[in-house]
Amino acid sequence: MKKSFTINNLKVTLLSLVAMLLQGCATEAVVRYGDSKAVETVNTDFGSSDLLQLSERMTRSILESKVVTGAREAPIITLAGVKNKTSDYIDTNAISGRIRAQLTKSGNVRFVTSISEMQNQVDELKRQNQTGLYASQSTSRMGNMTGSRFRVEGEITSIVKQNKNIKDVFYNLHLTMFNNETGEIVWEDDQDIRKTASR
Amino acid sequence: MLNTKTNSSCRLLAISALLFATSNVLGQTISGTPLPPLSSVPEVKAATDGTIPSEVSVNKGKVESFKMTIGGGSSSDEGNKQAVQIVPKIPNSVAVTDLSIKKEVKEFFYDEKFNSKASIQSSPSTPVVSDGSSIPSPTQSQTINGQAETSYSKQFGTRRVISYSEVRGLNADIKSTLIKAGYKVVQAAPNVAKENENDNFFNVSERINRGDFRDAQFVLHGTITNVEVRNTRDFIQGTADYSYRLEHSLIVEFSLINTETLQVIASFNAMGSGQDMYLGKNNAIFVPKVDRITRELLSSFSQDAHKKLMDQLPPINKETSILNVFSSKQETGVGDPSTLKVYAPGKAGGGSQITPDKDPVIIYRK
Repeated sequence: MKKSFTINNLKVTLLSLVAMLLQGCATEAVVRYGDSKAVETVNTDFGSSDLLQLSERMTRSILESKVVTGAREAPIITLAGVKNKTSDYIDTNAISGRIRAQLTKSGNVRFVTSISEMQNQVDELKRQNQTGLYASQSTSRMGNMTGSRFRVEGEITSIVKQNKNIKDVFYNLHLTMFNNETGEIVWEDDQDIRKTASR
Repeated sequence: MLNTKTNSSCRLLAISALLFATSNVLGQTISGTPLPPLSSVPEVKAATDGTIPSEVSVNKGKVESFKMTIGGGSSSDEGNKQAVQIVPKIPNSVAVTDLSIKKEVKEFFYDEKFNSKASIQSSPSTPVVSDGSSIPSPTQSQTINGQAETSYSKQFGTRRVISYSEVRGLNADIKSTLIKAGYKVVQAAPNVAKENENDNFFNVSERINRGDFRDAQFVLHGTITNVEVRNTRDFIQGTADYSYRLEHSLIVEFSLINTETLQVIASFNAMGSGQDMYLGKNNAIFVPKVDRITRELLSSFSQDAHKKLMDQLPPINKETSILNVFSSKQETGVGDPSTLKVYAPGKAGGGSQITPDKDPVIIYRK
């Protein structure tokens, strides 16, 4: 019994030495630039391709809505955030930020400061109005912020099913636009992604 | 004797009938001292030229005169003999009053009084001997008078204090609006509240009769119906800061009244508000800038009043406008045949020539 334990210990020690030697002789990893819009299928987790697809489809849907197409002036919207209800870690600000950027670039929609950006806005107003450092004619006055007429909020959910050989993940992004004055839902849409990994 | 009394009674009846008839026909008011007793009624002759006497003189007796006021003017029984003059109103003139306000305050009062008064008086009685020297006696009696008085009262509760006054300094832009619209603005006499004043303080017709608005055709009377001061502190979502805010708001009811007919020509409510803000942490100290609040309040109030006043302001009567009398200019060349020249093309293709032979052309002004 004692003899076999000693042999095993020797084997482990030898293998670790070989591994150390091999690591010392290995070359550096090769880094290449790839297509940022190329389809990424490393695993079933929420990835860059999912982000691009969902944000693009949602943007198109908002721009085709009556709120935007039927308005005389570009409607003023604020983003109330997207909640992550999946089991993965997803930075939902990346989704809402991408949608906002595309909408703003279109020129058909205007955005005002969202709640998550309020601290910076308040700090800037305080700096300009309350420090006494700025000429009163040039300061951005308090009490003149533009209010939004609409508010977009939503959530991303996922359903995961797997067995020994297959893993199936279903992602759903649901966004809703409310009229802030009336509370009416003026636009709503769902975008889905299904990803399956098999051995 | 009986005959004399009968004659006097007849004369009195005649005077009364004459005064009653004139007041009924012309809608005039008769006021003054009460009618004299029968024995002192003199003879009064009516005017022969058909005019109505504004003053009835009495030759003898205690009553010197009756005064008659025409056109709703104020009456006086002081016995002055000045004849009443009907002064024509200045056309297109507006007297603008300061803003009247009724302040009603409920205040707590506490009154506690304690009075204590004590006095003591002693008078030693000593026997007096015949030689005039006073010798103290071992059985001397002494009178002592003592008096003490104590009172205590306590009163507390709430009492309602009502005061009437006028607020100055809010109407400058409204006056400016009227001047720009072509009206002549007259400053109204201040309305000072009397002791134990009541809601009659707002009675414009009484002030018109009193002559507070001089000869203005209209009076723009403003009453402050609501003044509110709001001090708030609100948490700003998404930040660690609070917004501190002091806001003043004002609502004023305006009425434009014709001083002759007492007709309300225009009526509207104007409101304004001004605020000062401060962004800070939970326990920040906010010192509001009152001048900024007042400036904003005046600005918004004036804008609202200007808009509503211009919507309802009657058009200027240009025919009677004093401004028109002073500023009107004779337009030459319009409707005056002597200044008219007729131009026609020349025969040799030259420039235009004046052709006096042609029939005159008359141009009518629209």
